[in-house]
Amino acid sequence: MSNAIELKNVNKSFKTFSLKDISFSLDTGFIMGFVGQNGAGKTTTIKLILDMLKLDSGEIKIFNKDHQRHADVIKEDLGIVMDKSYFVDEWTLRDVEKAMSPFYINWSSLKYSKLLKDFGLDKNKKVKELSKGMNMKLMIAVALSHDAKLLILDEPTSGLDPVARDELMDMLREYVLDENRSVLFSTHITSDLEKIADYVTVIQNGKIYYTGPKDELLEQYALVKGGQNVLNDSLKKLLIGLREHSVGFDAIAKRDEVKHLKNIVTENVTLDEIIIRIEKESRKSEK
Amino acid sequence: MKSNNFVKLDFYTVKPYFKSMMFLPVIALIIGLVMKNLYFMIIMIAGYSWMISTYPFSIGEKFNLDVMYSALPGSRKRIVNARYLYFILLYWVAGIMSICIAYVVHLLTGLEFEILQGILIVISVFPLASLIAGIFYCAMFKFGYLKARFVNLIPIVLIFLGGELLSTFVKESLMDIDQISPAFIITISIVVGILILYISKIISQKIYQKKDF
Repeated sequence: MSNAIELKNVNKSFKTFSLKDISFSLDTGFIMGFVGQNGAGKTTTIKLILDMLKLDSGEIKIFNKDHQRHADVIKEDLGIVMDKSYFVDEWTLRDVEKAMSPFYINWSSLKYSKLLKDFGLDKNKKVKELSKGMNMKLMIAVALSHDAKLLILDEPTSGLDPVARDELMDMLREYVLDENRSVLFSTHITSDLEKIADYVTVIQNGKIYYTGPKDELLEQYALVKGGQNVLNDSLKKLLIGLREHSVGFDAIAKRDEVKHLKNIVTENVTLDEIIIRIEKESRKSEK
Repeated sequence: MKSNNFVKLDFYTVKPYFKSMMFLPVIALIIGLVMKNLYFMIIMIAGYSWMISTYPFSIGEKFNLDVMYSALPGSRKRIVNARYLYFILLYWVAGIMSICIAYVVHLLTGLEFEILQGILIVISVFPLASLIAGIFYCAMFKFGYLKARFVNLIPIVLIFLGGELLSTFVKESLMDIDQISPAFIITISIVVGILILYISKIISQKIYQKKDF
């Protein structure tokens, strides 16, 4: 199976923040959710993939090609959706096509017009007149009009209403029906990913906490609840993001490590819960 | 080919603001008429062309267009190439336009103007315009438009302060050097201008290649 994206030991340091040894890969034909708290390093990683930031060390390959050396070829097949529009506000959607189309061999005006129609976007409207959800649709329309094989979305759902978010999920689901297409989707709204992601990469404080199939991550952890009377030191060592309250506690833990324990309740965990708990644990260990 | 696409993109970036730029040649014309010096008007329009050539930097910074540039097929070198090509294109279009305006005004008002001298002024000012662009493009690629915008005002101030002097100097120099053929002046001016821009472009490419967005 070929990789749409592959990062190997990627490092990038700033004055107050560092990405350390970032490694993950996304197989062609799948959707990967890239999750983490605000400031965990998601956008920095995406900027490195897009060559907006220069690597300190490591290697990034897109479609099995070096992302810098083969940038021209790679970007022909790359679509980008950001949380904010990256087009000139004063452009009409007609201008967007005039400006973008010369760059892509595969640009289809017919497709662009059809997509705008399907999305309910008027070609004569200006970018500044579009809502956030409409701007996101415009970026997707541009990506699909040149038949992008890889979509990179950086926090596209933040600030979108639930209906627009649901529409985006449907679009992405439809997009990957073609097995040659892949999606890297960065977000901190993990409920979106639970619906569509095949793989998940969790980043925390500039380090990869988990990368792999989403279902494996969800199976690996469980939400653990119990009374104060069972909360001893040996159990505390197994718990992540422990929250104590008057009648008991809750936390997450590796399912294998707690399955033999009595007097506790285990439940399925959500991605959101995992992110919250590992962040809580990290803050606790920093103290 | 890809550099041409980026030139087109710069053009489209600035296009929505064209209306607000239309008053610039009008101001140059009014000043030229008040001063009864159409050659000065030509130099002013050349100065404006420089100013307009910096618009892709300012608009790019305002709308965070670096993301769009990063998404497009084309290396950073080509983005820089395009900015310089865009400047050259604007300068010569503005030059031709200013000569046409000056000629029409000359016909209407009888103010002194010769097309050949107008052409020689546009060509001989090119190395100076290239020098200004060469220096400030490097600054804008390095620091961004906002940080470099104050240096951007220097050529405008210079043109206001020294424009008439410059136009007289260029005009008289061109008259005095009858023994030098216009072809020589044209060749030297264009070669020097292009050489300055070429050196500046190499520096800008190195700066832009390393830049983090």
